[in-house]
Amino acid sequence: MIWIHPGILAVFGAFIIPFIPFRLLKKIYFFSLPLIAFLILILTTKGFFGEIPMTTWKIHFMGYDLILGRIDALSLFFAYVFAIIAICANIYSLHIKNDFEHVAAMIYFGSTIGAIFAGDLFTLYVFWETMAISSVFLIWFRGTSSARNAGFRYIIWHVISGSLLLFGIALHVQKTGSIFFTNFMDFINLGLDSIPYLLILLGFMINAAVIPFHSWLTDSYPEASITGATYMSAFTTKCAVYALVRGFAGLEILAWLGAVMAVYGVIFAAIVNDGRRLLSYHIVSQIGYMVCGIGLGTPLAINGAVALAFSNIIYKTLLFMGMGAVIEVTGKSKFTELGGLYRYMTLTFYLYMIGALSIFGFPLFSGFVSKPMVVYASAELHLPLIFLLLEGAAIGTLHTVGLRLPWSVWFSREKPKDLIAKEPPKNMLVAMSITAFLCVFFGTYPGYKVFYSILPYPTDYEPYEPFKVVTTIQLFAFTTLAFLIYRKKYRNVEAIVLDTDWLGRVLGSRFVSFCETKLVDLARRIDKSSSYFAEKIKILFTNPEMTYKSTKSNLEQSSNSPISRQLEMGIGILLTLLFMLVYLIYLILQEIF
Amino acid sequence: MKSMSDKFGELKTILIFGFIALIAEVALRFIIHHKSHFLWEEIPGFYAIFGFFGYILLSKFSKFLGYRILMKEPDYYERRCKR
Repeated sequence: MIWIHPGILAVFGAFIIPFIPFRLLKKIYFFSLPLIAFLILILTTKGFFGEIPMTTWKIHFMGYDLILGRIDALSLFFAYVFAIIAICANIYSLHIKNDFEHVAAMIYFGSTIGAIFAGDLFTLYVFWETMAISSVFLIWFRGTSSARNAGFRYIIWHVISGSLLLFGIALHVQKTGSIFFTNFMDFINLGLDSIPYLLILLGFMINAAVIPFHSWLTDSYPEASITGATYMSAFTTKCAVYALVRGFAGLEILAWLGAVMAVYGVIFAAIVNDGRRLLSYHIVSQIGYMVCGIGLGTPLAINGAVALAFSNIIYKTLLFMGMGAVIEVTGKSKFTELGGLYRYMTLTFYLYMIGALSIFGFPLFSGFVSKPMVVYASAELHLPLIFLLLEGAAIGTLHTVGLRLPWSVWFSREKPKDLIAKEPPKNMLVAMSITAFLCVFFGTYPGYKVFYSILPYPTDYEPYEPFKVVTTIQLFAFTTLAFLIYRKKYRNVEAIVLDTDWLGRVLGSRFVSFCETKLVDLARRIDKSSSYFAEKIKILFTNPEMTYKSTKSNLEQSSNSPISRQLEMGIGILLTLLFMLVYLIYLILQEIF
Repeated sequence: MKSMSDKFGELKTILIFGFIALIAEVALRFIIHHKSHFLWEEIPGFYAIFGFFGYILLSKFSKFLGYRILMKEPDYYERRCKR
């Protein structure tokens, strides 16, 4: 039996969706796509396709072997969870009538699996960009002007990430002659030799929303369509986490960046006024734990990072589904416009709370068997600051996702009279129930044993040690106690929160404005004076006695002449040559050092 | 009658829950040996103190950052980026 690439199956299968005639058939087909992908993954593990070598599905292209299917423990681990969550997200989206949203979602899912299974850098790049392009439609399908603008900012960030990645790959291939996607840690040193890997690292870091490159995430996810956000919360950042594990495991700076961003995310999540923006900031915090684990680099830390990615994908999707259900029904996402929904959306509240308890890492929920692995790994390496930052972020997690959001949305005050509230469509509740069940299943016996058995490294980590259980309950109880005491003083404010995107949005806008006015004015003046001199020289050689008789009027005439246009082109060519010169100097320096 | 805000979490229940966890931790210290990585893990109830005061510190710090520096009116970017 020939192995079929589940990602490519989803990408090409997506294009058929709009052509399926009946609504019910369309729904069945849409639901089946990730399900078939999941079945292929199970059959692959069970040996149905025979002994799968580490690399399969090779294409010979321009003298290189493109490896489309690198199947090993790490890639399979991520592929499993992506397929599971795509099934749940598809059920959640079944009521959506826009076929093209389904097409975008399935291309996004397929390309994520493609990037996970990519064995070479070129294939990785192609799927990396496909992910960016397909996912931006999930933002634009929201249909609001803020979604359109956020989508453009999102795609700019991802084009930058893709360009850095491509530039890094090109330099790496030029240097080594290999396109195999391997661990780059052996190539990293303090010299110029590291530049290709720093570019690749930057590309990965942007997609993983590592601070200070995280603002695209907190800017765009809250603006995405309700169902689109559930896919987005799962795929892009976790795919980048996979790429970081594969390429940069053990890079110390990542451990520190991760620990800082774990706290950074919860600080911002504590002050934003939008439900999905709070959850987006919280993605930054959770990615912090994973990035920290990758940076620590021990088998326990790596296991912790990927285990957390697995459970995070499930509970974060559940949280986005819960908040998405509130927006679907009420049309509101700001805390200042919500409140008192408990009586009307009770089931949604309890399902959301399963996700909230999981993300905090309460015993019996999936976060408890994954997140402490990273914290424990930092303790084993005796890194007290990282340990305290990660534990502090756990308090922030409970405060923001477990207490502030549910309190603001479902409690805090009586429901405003103009707010329409009821339980969301059944398919949404079914998807949330399945995801909630998975949160409990992977957090309890035998679920967590199954979960541990597919981790990339064998582990003897025991989550349910009595001490770990009681100290986690203490942390939970006393943080909740502090919140309950202070809740009356808590108020949500109708405001936006500035972040690092301020640089791009305000300074960038000023820079564009400067270019459009002052710089263009300067260019015109240079043009005029150059034309003036050119005209003078021309007259000097053709009719010398006219040199001193040239007037202002013929100077103005000359600014629109072919000579000035040639000068504009000349400046363009000069700039290109300057860039090439800089690149040449870089190559020479690289040769010298 | 309870207000909507009071329905979210009973102070008394969570206090009992927390104290049971505190007593359980002290009892566990007599029963099983716990391997500590840091000095503070030797303090009974460290996580209770850390949770309570950590929450206060985090919420005060985020409020300070928000109200003093980062929070702006919703149309801030529209006004600042107008060309």
